[in-house]
Amino acid sequence: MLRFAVRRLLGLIPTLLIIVVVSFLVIRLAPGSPFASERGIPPEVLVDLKAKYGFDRPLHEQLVNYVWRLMRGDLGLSTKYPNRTVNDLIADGLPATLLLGVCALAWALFLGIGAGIIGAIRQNTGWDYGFMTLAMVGISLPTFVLGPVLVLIFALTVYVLPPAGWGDLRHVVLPALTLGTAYAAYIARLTRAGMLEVVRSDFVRTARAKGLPEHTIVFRHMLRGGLLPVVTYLGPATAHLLVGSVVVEKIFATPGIGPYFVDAAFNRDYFVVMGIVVLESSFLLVMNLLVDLAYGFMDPRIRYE
Amino acid sequence: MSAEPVLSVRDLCVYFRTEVGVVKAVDGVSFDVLPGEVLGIVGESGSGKSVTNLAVMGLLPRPPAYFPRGAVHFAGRSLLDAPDRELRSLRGRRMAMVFQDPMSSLNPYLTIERQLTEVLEVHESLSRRQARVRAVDMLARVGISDPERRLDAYPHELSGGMRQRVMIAIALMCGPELLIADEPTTAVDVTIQAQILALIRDLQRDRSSADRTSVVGARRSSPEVAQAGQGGVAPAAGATVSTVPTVSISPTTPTVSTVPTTPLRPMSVILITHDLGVVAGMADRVAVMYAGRIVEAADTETLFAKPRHPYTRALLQSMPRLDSPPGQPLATIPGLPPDLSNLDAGCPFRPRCPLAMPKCAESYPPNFGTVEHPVHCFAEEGLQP
Amino acid sequence: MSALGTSPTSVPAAAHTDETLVGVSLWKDALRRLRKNRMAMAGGYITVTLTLVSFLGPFLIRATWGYDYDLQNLNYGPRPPSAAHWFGTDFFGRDLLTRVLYGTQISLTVGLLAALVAATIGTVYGAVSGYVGGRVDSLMMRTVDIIYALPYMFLVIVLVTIFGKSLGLLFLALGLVGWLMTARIVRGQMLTLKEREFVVAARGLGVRGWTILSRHLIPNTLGPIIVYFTLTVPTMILQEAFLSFLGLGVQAPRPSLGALINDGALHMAVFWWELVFPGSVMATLLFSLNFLGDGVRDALDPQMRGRT
Repeated sequence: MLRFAVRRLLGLIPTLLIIVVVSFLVIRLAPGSPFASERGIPPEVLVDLKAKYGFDRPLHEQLVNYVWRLMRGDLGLSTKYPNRTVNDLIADGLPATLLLGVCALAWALFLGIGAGIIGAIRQNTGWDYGFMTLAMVGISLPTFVLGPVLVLIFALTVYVLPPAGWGDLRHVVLPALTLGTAYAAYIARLTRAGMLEVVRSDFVRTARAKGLPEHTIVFRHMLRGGLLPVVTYLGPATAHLLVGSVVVEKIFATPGIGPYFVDAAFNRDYFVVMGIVVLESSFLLVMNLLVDLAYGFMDPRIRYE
Repeated sequence: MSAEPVLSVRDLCVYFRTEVGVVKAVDGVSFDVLPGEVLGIVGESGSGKSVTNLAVMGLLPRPPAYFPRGAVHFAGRSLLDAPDRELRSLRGRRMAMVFQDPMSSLNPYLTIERQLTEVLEVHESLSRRQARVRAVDMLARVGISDPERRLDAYPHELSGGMRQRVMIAIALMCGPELLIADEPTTAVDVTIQAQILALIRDLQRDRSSADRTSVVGARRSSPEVAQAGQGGVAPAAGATVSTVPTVSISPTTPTVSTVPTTPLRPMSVILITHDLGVVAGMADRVAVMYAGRIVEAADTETLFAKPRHPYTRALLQSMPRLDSPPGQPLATIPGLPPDLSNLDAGCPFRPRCPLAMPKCAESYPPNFGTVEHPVHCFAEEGLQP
Repeated sequence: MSALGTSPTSVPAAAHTDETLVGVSLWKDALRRLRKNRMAMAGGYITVTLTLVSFLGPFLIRATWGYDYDLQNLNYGPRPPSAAHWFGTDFFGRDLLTRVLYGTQISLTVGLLAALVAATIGTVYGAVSGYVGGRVDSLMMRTVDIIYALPYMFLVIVLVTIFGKSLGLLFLALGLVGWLMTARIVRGQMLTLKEREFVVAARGLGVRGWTILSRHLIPNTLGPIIVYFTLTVPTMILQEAFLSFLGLGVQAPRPSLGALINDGALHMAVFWWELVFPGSVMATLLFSLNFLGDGVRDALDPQMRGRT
C-alpha cells in the first residue's frame, strides 16, 4: 500500500505540471493586460514594468521561467500590489481561509452524516422526510442567499453574532455555517443513499438473525459500507472547502484568499491567479489520493499493491 | 427425546400490504418441530417457505408484513407478540438461521473472527479472547482447516463452500436448540452441496443423542469424547453457563472443554429447500408447501413412498430418475404458481391439478388425512388414511 | 436474494396472472413513477408556474402600472412592499417585482441554454470518445480529467472575462465549463453498450459508425443524459446568479437574480425586502428544479424498476 501511495504521489507531479501549463496558457488567452487599468502610464515606465515581470519575453520562455521558479517555491510577483510577492499574499490569506474551511467541513460532516444515518434508519418516517427536505433546501439555497439571510437573522435582528469581520471565534460561526450547509446537504443525501443500500443487504439481515443490538448493527455493520460514497465525495469537496469560498469571504469580509482571486482575475494579475490555481489543484490532487487510500482501508476487497 | 415440541406453529398467517394489494404469503400454516428432529419444508419459489421461517425468527419488517392470526411458540414463549428485546435475546442464542447465499450474507467489511465472536460477546458476555478460542474451535468443527489463520481472513478470501461453513459456525456458536437452514445448498457448487448437508447432519446428530449428558461433567476429557461433546452446549432456558476454557494445544485442532452446569438440549433443524433430493437424505419429516399453505406432511419415508396430495405426486414425478428410459421427456407441472395477491377461496393448486373437481373451487380443502400425515385435498375425502 | 426491504422477493415473484405478461416500456414506466412522486410533481408545477409568471407577468404589470425594469423614480427611493409595488422598490425607485420577474426570465433562459450547450457538447464528446475507444479515448478522457482538476471558478471567471460581458455569450461560457460530467457518463455508457449484441449485429450488417452512434447507441444513453440535464439546469442558474453576484455576468441595468441579491445584501439591514424577495424566488426556483430533477432521476433509475 505504501508503494502505491508513493507511486501515486510521484504521478501527481506530471499532472500538476500539465495543469500549470494549461492554466498559464488559458489565462494569457484572456484579452487585456495587467496594466490596462492604470491611468495613462508613460511608455518607458510600461517597458520597465513589463521587464520586471518578464512579460516582454516570448510566451514559452515565460512559461519555462514560471515552472522553474515554481519548483523552487517562488510563485512570482503581484502586479496589483507591486511590493508583495504572491507567496506573501497567499500566506496572508491562507490561515483565515483554512480555518473557515475546516470549521465548515466539521459542520458539514457532523450535520450531514448524522442526518443521513437517521434518515436511512428511520426511512420514510417524519425524520427522514424532514431531514431530506432540509437537505434539499440546503442544496438549493445559494451561499450568497443563505449568508445574508443568516446575517439578517442572527446579527441584525437578534444581536447574537457579528455580521462580518474576523477576530475571535464568534466571527467564524456564520461563515462556517453558510459555507458548510450546502456540503452538509450533499453529504446527508449521499450518506442516506449509501446507508439505505446497506440496510437492505443480506449481511445486515444476518446480523439481526444473530440477535445483535440495534446500535451494534448500525455502527459496526452498516457504517463501513454505507459511508463509502461519502468518502468519494469528500475528496473534491474538502479541497474546495479548504480553498474557501469567494462568495462567503466576500459577504463576511473574511480576510482569506478568495477576494484576492476574483480581483486578480479582473485585473489580470497573472501570477496571483496562477498561484491560487496551483494551490487549489494541488489540494485537489492530494485529496483524491487520500480518498483512494481511504477506500483501501475501508473496503478490504480493494487492495493495492 | 421429550414429546414437548421445540417449535410450535399454529395457523400462522403472514400477509403483506403492498401497492398491488394484500399479498398472502403464508395462509394458515401449522406444524411442530420436536427436539432433535429434522423437518424438511419443500416448495417452489413463492410457496411461502422462507417467509414462514423469517416470521418465526422475527426478521420480517412489520409494516408491510402483519400477522392477522396465528401463533408461534418457541420453548414455551409466544414469539409473534414478543417485544424486540426478547426476540433479540433468543435469536442467535437459542434459535439461529443460516441463509441461502453466503457471499452476500456475510459482512464483507469484517473479519471472520469478528462475525463469529460478536455472537458470543452479546449472548454470553465473553471477552474477545475467550470468544476467539471458541471461534477457532467452532471453525474446526465445521471442517475448516487451519482455523486460526482463517479467523483473520475476510469473506471474499474464502471459497463458497468455506463461507457456507462459516455461516453454519456462526449459527451454532451458542448452541441453539433450533437451526433453520434456508436453502443452504442452493448457492453452492454441487460437489460442496453434499459436504454441507453431511456437515449439518453430523452436527445435528452430535447434539441429539441424550447420552451426551454424562460426558458433560468432565473437566478434561479424552480428545474424541471432548470433540464429540463440543457441538455447542445448549443450556436450559434461564440458566447461565459458566465456561472455563482450557485450551490444549494439539497439532491439528485445539479443543476446548467446558464446564457447563446444566444438561444438554438436542438440536432440531428446519431444512428449507425446493430440492426433494436434499430432503430425502436428511429429514425425518417433510412438509410440502404450496401458495402459502402446507398441503401435505409426513415422515420422509411415507411421503416418498406413498404421496397423497396431487402436488406432492407431481413434484416426485418431475424428478428425473436414473432408471427412466432414455428419450423420455421430463415431466413438468403445467401452469404457473398463483398470484398471491389475488387468491380465491378454493384450493390454490386447482388450475394445475389433474384431479380438480368443482368442489375444489369453493373452499380450501380441510385435512382429510391423519394428524401425523395431513393431506389437504378433496380427492382424498372418504379415502382410508 | 430475499431482502428485508419493503418487498420480499418471494412474494412478487408470484404476482402475475395466467394471461401473457404485459411489457412496460422504459419511458412509460418512468413517467408513471414520476407522476407518483408528489414532491417532484410539485416541483414541476412550481417551475412551470414561475416560468409563465416571469415571462407573462411583466406585460401585465406594464399594462396595469406602466413599470419596467429600468424605470427609475428617484423621488421614490426605496419603499417597502405596498399595494402599488408588491415587492417594494429599490434604491432607484424601480419596481422590484418587475425586476425580479425579469431576473427570473434571464436565470431560466441562461440556465436552460447553458445546460443544453453542456449536454450537447458532453454527449458528443463522450460518445465519440467511448465509441472510438483506444488511445483516442484515453487522450480525450485525460483532457477531461485535467480540465476537471482546474478550479471551476477559475475557468468560469476566465471564460467570462474572455467573452466579455455579453449576455448572449454568457450561457456559452457556462456551458463550456459544465459538459465534463456528462461526457464522462456518456462515455461510460458507450463502453458498456458498444459490446452488446445489437451493436455487433448492426456493424455486421455494414451500418456506418455515425449511424450506429446516432440510431442505436445514443438513444440508449438518453436516460442518464436526461437525468444529468435536469440536474444541470439548476446548477447553471446558480452559476449565473453567482457570477452576477460578483459583478460579472449580466450587467446593469438589466436585472439578474444574483445581482438583485447582491444589492439587497448591501442594504438588508434597512431595506430587507430588497434581499428577501429575490432570495426567496431564487431559492424556490432552485428548490423546485432540484426536486423535479431528483424525481426524474429516481424515475429513470434502472435499479428502481419493478420495485414499486
